[in-house]
Amino acid sequence: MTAFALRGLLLRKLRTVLTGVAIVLGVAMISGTYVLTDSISNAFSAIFTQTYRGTDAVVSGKSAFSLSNNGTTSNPSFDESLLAKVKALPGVDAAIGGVAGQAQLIGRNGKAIVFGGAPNLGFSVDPTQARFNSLTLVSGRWPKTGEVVVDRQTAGKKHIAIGQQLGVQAQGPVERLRVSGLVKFGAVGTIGGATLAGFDLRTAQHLFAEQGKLDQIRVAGKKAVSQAKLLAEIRSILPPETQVRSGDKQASSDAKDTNSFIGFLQKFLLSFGGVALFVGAFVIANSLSITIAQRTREFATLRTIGASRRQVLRSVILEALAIGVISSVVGLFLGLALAKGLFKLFDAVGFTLPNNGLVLHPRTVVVALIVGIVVTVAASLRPAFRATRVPPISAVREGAPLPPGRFHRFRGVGAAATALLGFAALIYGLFGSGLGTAKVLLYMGVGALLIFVGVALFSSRIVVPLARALGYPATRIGGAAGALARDNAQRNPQRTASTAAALMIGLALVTLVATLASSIIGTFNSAVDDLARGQFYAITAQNNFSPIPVSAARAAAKTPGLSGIASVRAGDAQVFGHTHQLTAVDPTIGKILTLKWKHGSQAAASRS
Amino acid sequence: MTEAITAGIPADAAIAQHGPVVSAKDVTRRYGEGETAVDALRGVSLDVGKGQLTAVMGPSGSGKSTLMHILAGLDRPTSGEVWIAGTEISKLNDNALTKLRREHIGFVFQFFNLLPMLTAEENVVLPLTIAGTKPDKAWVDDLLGRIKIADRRRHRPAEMSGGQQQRVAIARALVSRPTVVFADEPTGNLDSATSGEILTLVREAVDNYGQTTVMVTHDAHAASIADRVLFLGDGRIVRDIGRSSPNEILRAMEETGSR
Repeated sequence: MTAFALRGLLLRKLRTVLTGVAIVLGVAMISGTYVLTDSISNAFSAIFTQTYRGTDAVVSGKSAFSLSNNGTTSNPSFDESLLAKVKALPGVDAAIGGVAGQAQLIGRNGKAIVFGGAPNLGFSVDPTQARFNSLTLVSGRWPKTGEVVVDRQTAGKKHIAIGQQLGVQAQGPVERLRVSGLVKFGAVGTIGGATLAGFDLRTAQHLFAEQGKLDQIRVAGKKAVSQAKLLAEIRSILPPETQVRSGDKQASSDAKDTNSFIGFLQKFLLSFGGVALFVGAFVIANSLSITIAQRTREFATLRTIGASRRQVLRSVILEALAIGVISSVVGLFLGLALAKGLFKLFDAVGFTLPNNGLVLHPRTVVVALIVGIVVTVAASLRPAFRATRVPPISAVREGAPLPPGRFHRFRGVGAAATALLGFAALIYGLFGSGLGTAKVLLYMGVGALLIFVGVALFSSRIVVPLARALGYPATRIGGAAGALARDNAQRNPQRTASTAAALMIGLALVTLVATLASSIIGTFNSAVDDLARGQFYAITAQNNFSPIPVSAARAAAKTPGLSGIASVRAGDAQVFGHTHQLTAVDPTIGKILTLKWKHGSQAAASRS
Repeated sequence: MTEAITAGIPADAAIAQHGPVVSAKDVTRRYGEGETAVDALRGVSLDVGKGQLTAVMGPSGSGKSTLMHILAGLDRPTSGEVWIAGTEISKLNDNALTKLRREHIGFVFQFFNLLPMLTAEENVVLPLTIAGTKPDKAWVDDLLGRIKIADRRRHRPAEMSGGQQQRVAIARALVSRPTVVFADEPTGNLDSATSGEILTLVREAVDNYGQTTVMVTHDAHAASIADRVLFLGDGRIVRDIGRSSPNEILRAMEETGSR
């Protein structure tokens, strides 16, 4: 019987392959997503581990409350005198102070160097303390005051040569610095589209407007001193506005931002994989139904020579299992290629992701295989049960009809109930109050799924009248061919319906993406349009999130013909015990944007 | 009327000795309902003796195929009883019928019905594989030798001629040593030379293994190998004769309007 099931697949190679393709694609999307996100996450963690190389403890400024995780606000800096105190501690072997921030590089053409939305990192480097240095010099030398080292990736792309002057802008006007060398970031392959700029401490403090201040002190303890003891020792001398963490803890805290981004990317891509598998399930159910209808005589023959229903059922499920296993394995490996392709794709559209080689976790293998196999087998159940209803007499008599199944009479009610339940979930998701985004999406997703299944089940009922209505013009125009087409559509309504279902899902998907994209753009557009008073211009950093210097606003104000200018700054604040994102504006904002006041008025704001 | 037909059956030594292995009692079969209903069988009773080859003849629409389907448990009678090996089968459920087919029934089809993905040998032993019993190698080799495809045992049906396929199908029907083999127009899809080989094989199975066989045919030559020939007309048995020559059978066909 096993041979019967498996060799049957070989006999129908083309159909088997085509059936499997649907699952291969779905599984590939799932495994590709995991491989991509695991690889990015691995690259990031390599970056952060590299950053805190040789560091046992990290002293940093402590914010008064825990910050939201959007990265616009960083911990406050602290006075650099702390460094000497830390160095003097008995357990401390070495310590360095550093400052860091966003530093925009300006290319030869006078334009800022930005790759997609990637950050432009600037920080101090101390080549005398090699153990803490995460950068490796590729060529040239380490920077002195008034000099900068740039990562070789950016240098290569923008033709930056050692010895040339390079514009760098952080918390002030553009400074011209001499490029003293090119660096790479440890052993990490690609750090994504980020640009790296390294300065000596004095230059960095000047650029980031943190004269006499530090963002971080990195400490290496003496060999005999345990990490806990070292941390306790440092903690005892820390002023209240600073904190100390172990190097590992600091690395994982730094990784938090990137992990939430990766998590979002993962869910986004996985949902596409899920839809692909859902469509795949329909294709498989359909394809198996057709082969089973074609093989009626084979099953009937098996029955006449003694096969039980259970054996017939098992042989069809075994077939599906074989298709599922092979397709899932192929899909798994195709996913590796897909992840590689996605890295290239993101790179091509200017959104270079950090990459340190593809990562295939056991979890990826397990999830991809289980999901692929389970979906395939589940999709085969209905066709398999149909096969068991083939009566033995079909072996000798053509066209003996299948007896209706046990649940046949509940089909209409079941379809309606499924669709209604789906609608209910969808509406609850859309209008239900007090639901989080995840729950809204969950309800809407499940609702849509149920509606699909319900409609697919029910649609076989409307195929016949629909084909009759559509068939009327078809026969008038197409003649015999039109009549044949109509009769064929009517002959097996279930087949017609399930074929249409695959198309239905595809169309729904296109509609979904188009609607989503246009409504997101529409929301932003109308929000901006509602705000604007007359013609207005916005000045932002090229990556949309780096801060721009206050001097830029002063310079812009001198432009002739302006009716008003207002600066905007965003940050985190603790208000009534909760952390909120605040946006601070100049009182002049009322001249530029229309604000809707719930309480008070523009006049009250302008008075202050 | 039924009694009259039953009374016409000549006393049969085999039945007298062992009792019938297959019997039908007042079997009727009606297709459809109301005015459009068709009576395929209008009351058929018969006994098939052990080790006998019985041919069932009749023009199309006479009910001969319906009779065989009902005797073999593929179809259910509208009324009446069917007994195989001491069991009344007309009301058995699906599982019991499956068990009956495994143990007591072999089938030879007009269109061979071999499974295309299996080799000749695998097709032959398939009933045993399905039943979960281990094939007796000597017995399988004997069968493969008899059907003269020993050198083609690893060939697939698509690589064999019609005659070879039907020989494999006969071996498949015999392999489980069933109580009765039903053959449905076994030569209906073959040329006359090949038909001769197949008929020889069917007759040998009866003679060498004592295989009880019921064969539906419309070919007088095929029916002439049978120990007994039944003629059906209009849903009833209209003639029941012993072993006859093709000419005698042709004459009987003409007399019963089977031609």
